[in-house]
Amino acid sequence: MKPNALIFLFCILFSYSFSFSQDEKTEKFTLSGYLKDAKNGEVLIGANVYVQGNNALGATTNLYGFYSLSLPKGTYQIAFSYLGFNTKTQEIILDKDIRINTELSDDTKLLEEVVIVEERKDENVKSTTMGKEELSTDRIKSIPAFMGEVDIIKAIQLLPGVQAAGEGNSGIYVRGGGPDQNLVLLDDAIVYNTGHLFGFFSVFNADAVKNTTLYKGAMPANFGGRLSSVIDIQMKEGNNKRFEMEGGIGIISSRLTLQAPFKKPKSKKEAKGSFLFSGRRTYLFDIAQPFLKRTDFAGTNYFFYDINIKANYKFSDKDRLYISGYFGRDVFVYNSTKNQTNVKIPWGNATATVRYNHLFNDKLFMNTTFVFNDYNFSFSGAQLEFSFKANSGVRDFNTKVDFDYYLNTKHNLKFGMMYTHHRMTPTQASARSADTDFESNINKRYSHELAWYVAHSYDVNEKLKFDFGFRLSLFQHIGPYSQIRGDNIIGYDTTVYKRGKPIKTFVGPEPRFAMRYAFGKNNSIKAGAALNYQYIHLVSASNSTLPTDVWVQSSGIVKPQMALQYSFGYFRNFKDNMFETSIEVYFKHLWNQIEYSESYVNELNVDQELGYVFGKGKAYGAEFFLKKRTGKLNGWIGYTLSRSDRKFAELNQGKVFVAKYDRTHDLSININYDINKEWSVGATFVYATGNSITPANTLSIIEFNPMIGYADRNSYRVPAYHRMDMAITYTPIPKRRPDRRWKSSYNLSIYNVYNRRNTYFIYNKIEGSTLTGDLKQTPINVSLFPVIPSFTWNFKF
Amino acid sequence: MQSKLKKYTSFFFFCILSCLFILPACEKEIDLNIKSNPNEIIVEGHIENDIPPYVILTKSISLYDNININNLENFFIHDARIVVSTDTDSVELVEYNSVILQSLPDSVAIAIAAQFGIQISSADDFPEVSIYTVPITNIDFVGQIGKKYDLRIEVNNQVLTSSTTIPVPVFFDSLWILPHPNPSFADSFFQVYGRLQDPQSLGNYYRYFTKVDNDPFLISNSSVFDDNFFNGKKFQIFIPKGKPIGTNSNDFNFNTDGYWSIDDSICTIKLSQIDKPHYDFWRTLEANRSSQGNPFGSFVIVKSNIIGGKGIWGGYGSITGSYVRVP
Repeated sequence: MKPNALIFLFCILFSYSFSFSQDEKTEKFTLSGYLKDAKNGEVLIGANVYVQGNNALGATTNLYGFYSLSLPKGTYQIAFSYLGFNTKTQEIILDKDIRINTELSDDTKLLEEVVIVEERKDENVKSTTMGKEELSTDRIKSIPAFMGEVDIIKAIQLLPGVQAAGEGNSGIYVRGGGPDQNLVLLDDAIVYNTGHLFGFFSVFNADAVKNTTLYKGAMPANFGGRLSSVIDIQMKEGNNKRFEMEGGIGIISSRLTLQAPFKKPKSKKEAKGSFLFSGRRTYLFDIAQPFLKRTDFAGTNYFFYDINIKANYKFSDKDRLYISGYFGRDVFVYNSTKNQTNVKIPWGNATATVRYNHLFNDKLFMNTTFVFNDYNFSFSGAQLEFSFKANSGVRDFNTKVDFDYYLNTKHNLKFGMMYTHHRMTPTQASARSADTDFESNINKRYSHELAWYVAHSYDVNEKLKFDFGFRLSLFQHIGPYSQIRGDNIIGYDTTVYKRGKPIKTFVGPEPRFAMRYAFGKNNSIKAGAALNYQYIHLVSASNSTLPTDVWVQSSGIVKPQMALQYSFGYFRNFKDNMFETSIEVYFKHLWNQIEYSESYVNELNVDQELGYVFGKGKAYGAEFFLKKRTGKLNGWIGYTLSRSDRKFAELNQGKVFVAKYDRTHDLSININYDINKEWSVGATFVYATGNSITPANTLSIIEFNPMIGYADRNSYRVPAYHRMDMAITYTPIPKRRPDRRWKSSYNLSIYNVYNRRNTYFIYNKIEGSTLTGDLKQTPINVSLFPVIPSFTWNFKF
Repeated sequence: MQSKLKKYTSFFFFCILSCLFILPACEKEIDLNIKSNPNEIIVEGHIENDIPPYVILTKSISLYDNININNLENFFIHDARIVVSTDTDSVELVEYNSVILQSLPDSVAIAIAAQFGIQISSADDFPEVSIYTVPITNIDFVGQIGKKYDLRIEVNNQVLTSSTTIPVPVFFDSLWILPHPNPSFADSFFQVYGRLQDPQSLGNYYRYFTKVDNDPFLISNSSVFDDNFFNGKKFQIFIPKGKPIGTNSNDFNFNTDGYWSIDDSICTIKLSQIDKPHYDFWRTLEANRSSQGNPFGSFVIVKSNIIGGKGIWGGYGSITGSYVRVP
């Protein structure tokens, strides 16, 4: 561990022991329970429960909608609030531990008895969290969508500190880090490949998603294994009050989601359990099938689909079980009868999560999770006597247990542990040529990944709050494995490791720290720091990741990536919290960063890690954010000024170069305007400094053909990227029966309104030859998407 | 086989992109203002069993410098002192410029040009090139299998050195032909196959050349392969026909590239064993050429075994054989 990391660790431990020395002696009782949406029984994540008139005495619901608030004996006006919902208040006489499960409604007509009080809307200022953004799916749906496909990842790209990987791409770079440094979780399962069709669409079907949280700063200690960010996506649980159906038909895909309670509940009560099924499939190329049928290319197709399922069952007020799963595939099929060629390439993720919540008492909440996930890419092709197969992927079995311990209003503890068994499959190829078989002998890799964590949140007083966290991670590459090293001059040496035998072990102490100091009416300053380790990596030669890119684990050659991030922020709300503003600055040190060597060429049956080179990096920047939360006109403006550079002994002659994730300026504006109850319009505008590329600059000849030389790494900027999208949504309200359950809405989205031809890539066109005296080379700028209108019909029942 | 795999993978990306984005991608010529580093010394030198060593010495030019590009003479470096040596013997190469080459008898000039893949009909057509090879007095200095050859170049106050080996060659047990897999092309094209027994030890690197009748030896876009995937095996391999010099490596026709024409009667294959640094040079150079214009690919810097410069000093251990088609 680096010396500054040790100093940092020491400071954290010192302040931690200080925090425990403070405690209170008054008699206290606990108010606890669940907060839910009155409409469908979905739990509300991150909702607030607090004492009216004293915002400091409050709690926030966890991922499962549970809250716990310990207060001195007395009578309180307790407020339950959640953004977009009406706040409910209730008088509570707290002379014993009380459980209150509450439902909040977003419809004033249904809950006339509720007294509307001032919301606790200043979470932005009052929490210690920095670099955290929550996006509800409803909010994401108001953003203009590319080809009508509502995309969670593309919505996240509009936040400051988050950059899009490229034109139309759902890959993201967070605070100068690579795309593999983002931990993307769907109901606690890691999603290794987040994009369909080279990342033009993300794998998350918005209809099945309830809530998305992005952590880009000092991530809480319960998350780890990645350096840059966590994107925590929670699926909907399923309506447990009534059957619900929603869906949509768009230009490239259709969607259908069904939700229902297991058994219809009596009157307004909720059922014991409910389920959700959601599916999406593209059909752009299916439409062409009848036309292809009589051609040489019959059967050639491309499509992708996603299936989300979830079920939950409440055994008692203290025990609840959730089972959820995701299955998605991209499938490309090419047939040519004339050439007697057929190629099939399917790839995608499958995840399954089982979670069991148990409430030991009013203060101790436990969640146990079992996760299976699998990402697989495969390729099979044949022509006449020759056939070829290849596949690669990742498969994990993961289990974890998390505890939330609500000590009192000043102290909250989270602790737990996790274990993952990884199996990484490098590209394994086999071929058959006539009667000879070939088999690649690159081994699968197996490993254990373990982590223990504890996080302590300490409210010193109304002004000062600390979050201390510590995570200890351990990674071990284990057998079976046989390693071949050497060449034909020095000879080859093979080492064989038996199943389960440790080969290489890494241990990572990961301290985390965050604090907030509130002052004035609506101001606070915050600071955070975190040290993170990352044990599995995805190195890509292109700007974004491709389905063929292979995840690799740390080994004797590949050391874990490490990042130490410091961040500071000033937060201020205006106009009764209608406007939220913040300025955050961050600085990141990065170690053991991985790139391909400059002469890397992908070869069958050669360990990919032998093509890597290692170096260090820095990333720093300032993020400015202005958000209007409420009103007919709402939205945000985010601007980031940043730099991300790398230094590798074996790249760019050892000189510092800007990372391909570097964007000097990045501006995103997202605005939504509700004209009336039926019509709303939305617009987004993005501007970003162009990607940095390594330009070709010299020409030499070998065998009278060109050999191209290159300028310094990433030394050329392509023109700046900017684009505006607009959308208009019409949701008619039937005049005769305005409360009719069947609801339709029509959305027209226009991508790239002013038809900006942004650079997708630049290449050098070489024509002719020096030998014939007509050699000509021309740099060509290729842009991909012109203005694209799309229309989607959505329905709900 | 390797070339077929490459065909498939590039085809995969091409198909998905072009099929799905029926919306036309827009291409536009642009001006790039990029500093370049011209005048690097580029070595292209070879030694093969039974053939004298030769070196072509050129310099790099700025990529967008169209002033000099079409005058081949601007590439060549003259007046270098080049010595090729073994443990026991050495030879200083002499420069043959185009004036000398054009004064050679037609048959000699045509044969020398063919060695470099250039097809000419008379000595006058010899392009503006400059070649360093053994002096007439030392014509017996030819490559020998199993030997190591050192290279030393002194030019413009710079010294460049390198070293290579001539590995033991292997050749196909048999060569045969098959019709084009697509019946609609079978009247015009056919395929050549060979059966190869790879030696038992890992670390064999191959480069192959093809030749039709009396034409020069040519290479295809993917001219090298190693035995990582089929070490020690006996297998059959598709042998694509080489492409004429100056053919853009990105002009790719799935139906015709690599197939032999029905007019080709003697199909000659030269299979050379090369050492690892030599293999790495061609492997990275071929990737360097094919990465031009591939949005998913990354740039590749060509690996060189020349100390003090760029390019290649490579030994070939070659065996040549032909399939003669009976009309």
